[in-house]
Amino acid sequence: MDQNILEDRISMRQMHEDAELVSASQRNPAAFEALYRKWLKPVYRYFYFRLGNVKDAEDLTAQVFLNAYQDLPRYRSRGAFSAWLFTIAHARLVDHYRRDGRKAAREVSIEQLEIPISAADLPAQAAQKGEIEQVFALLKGLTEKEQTLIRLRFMAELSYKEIGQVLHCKEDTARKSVSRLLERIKKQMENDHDEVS
Amino acid sequence: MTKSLENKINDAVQSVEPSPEFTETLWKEIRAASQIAHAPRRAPRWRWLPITAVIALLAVILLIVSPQQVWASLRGLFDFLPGIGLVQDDQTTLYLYEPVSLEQNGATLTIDQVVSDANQTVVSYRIDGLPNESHCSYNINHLLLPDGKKLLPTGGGLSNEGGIVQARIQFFALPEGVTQATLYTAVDPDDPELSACGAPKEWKVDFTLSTTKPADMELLPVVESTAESTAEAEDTAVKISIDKSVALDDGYILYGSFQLSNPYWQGAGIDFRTITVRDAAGREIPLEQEDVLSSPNGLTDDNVFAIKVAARDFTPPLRLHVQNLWIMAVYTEGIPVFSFDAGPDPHVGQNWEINKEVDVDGIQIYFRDVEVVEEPTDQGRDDSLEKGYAITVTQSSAQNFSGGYSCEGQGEGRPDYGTAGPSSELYPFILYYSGGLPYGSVTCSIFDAHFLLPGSWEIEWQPPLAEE
Repeated sequence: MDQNILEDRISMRQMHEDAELVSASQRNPAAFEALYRKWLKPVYRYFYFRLGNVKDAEDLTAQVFLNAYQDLPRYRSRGAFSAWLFTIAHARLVDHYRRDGRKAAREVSIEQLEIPISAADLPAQAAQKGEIEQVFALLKGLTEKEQTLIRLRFMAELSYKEIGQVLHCKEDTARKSVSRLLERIKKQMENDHDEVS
Repeated sequence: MTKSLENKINDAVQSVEPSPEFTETLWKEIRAASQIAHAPRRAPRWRWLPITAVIALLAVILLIVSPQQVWASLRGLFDFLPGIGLVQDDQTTLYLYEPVSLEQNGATLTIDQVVSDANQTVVSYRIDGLPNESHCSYNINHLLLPDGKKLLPTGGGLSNEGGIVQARIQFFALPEGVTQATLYTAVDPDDPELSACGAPKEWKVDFTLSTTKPADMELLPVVESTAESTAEAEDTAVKISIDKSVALDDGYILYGSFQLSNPYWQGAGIDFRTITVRDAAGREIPLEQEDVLSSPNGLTDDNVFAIKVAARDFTPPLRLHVQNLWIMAVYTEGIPVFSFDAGPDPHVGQNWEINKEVDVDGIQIYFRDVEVVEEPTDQGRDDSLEKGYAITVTQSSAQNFSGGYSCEGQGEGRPDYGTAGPSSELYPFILYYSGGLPYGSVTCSIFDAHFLLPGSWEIEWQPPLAEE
């Protein structure tokens, strides 16, 4: 409970900070840089862990920020800025699959993954590659909505309140959904481990 | 164990980052877009922070001004006052001769400028000395008149950065004969962050105006223009003209307007990402977006625009090329788009497939389904959580299409508020209803739309010869 309260406070502070950054940007476009630098990594990771390659992640990330910059005057501060931003992000993802002529494939095959390695030495690189492949393996087999929950929580780093606004559900529903999903994944991992051994 | 799983995911996620080259290149692209525009679309109410009274007022009334009347409706000739905008300077125009201040708990509100002409009253103020962590949003602004009446804002906005609030608020014109008023600004009492506001939550500052201009005030002349666009045949639905200009030390402000032939199209805005200006030598000239003027009744005219040519050293004439326009269409009576049987008691999660393509004024819109949703937190007029209809549009023939819909059926439910921002297959348009969700045979209608109109418009503008 204490952790939830702490998270709520951090979340409210972050949302308020975003609101001030938005108002500054609406007055002075150069001030958009603060929002850009704050949300670039979460948006990029949100796309990368769906698409599995750097170029597409970069393309869609660029579209999101150019759209957000262009549409910022339309933004009304009802709810979190992050929720609005990731609404745009998801719209761009849907457009991407529609343009690409493919169905929104849930699975990115491990073999097709393009893994951006940033670690300095070989052992660290191998560990990094393994970790990323593990995350894609975890996402594999989840429904689209379950993947979205994981990506909004871990890649986009959104609070449950913000996730609720993105997915139009109550904060508590988002919290319980993620918690149950993680429990299910953990149990599946344990079962897989038992089967192997 | 769950925490361990979370750590695994977090560690993998944190190891993925956009490259520094991509990060800086994208920021440069965004900044390059800002060289020609702050943002597209129209009027101060989009560029500035929302002002509650303005939004409420504008939601009810739509100004339709014929193209020829855009500037004619504004009485008199204009000058330009830096920091305020277009000012009708005549013998009745009132000014704040010198700034006035009020200090409260270590913070100071200073009214720097006030100009009241026949069309509007503009107040420019700032608040210094707020604690950096004050989290105070002074979203309530009005002028209190000597007879007890209130002048509501019609535009403008404010910012709060690093403990300094800067505001420029437009109000309706002062009644004739009134030379005194009180600026009232306060934090919205419904603001969820109210308890975090550690500064004075309301301010009342009296000021007196007179016809005497401040000693250091410089009004710049506004010159009429007759430049009109030429366009390709298919672009004749919109004509763009440049109507007035102001010469500044570092450039010119051009005021223009749109003439829209489609009766549904209420407003237009230049997509500033796609406007370029070149001089006669072919050199590209930088542009910036400027605020537009409110009309006499205080409502922002959706058919005017202002841009700043940020240079004086060019070879005239200038040739403006506009590629895209934002169009706002309003279907005042609503155009029905689909109907469905919601039954006697529609409940959250209930979904109806629509799968229908509808033509609205030449735009094809594909409706996939409609679902009952509930607002995540209580933001509506009811004390309980309001329900709404989430309408999913998957495709449209117009670019960047965004529509606003409202549904009617049995019961007393009335539209309350809806979602903003783009809608898509996974993120539908939602409108919540107070007094209960419409049920039974429900018909949903489109009431407004916003989309990008591609085209090619060229306007040649010659700066006036007499500038001093």
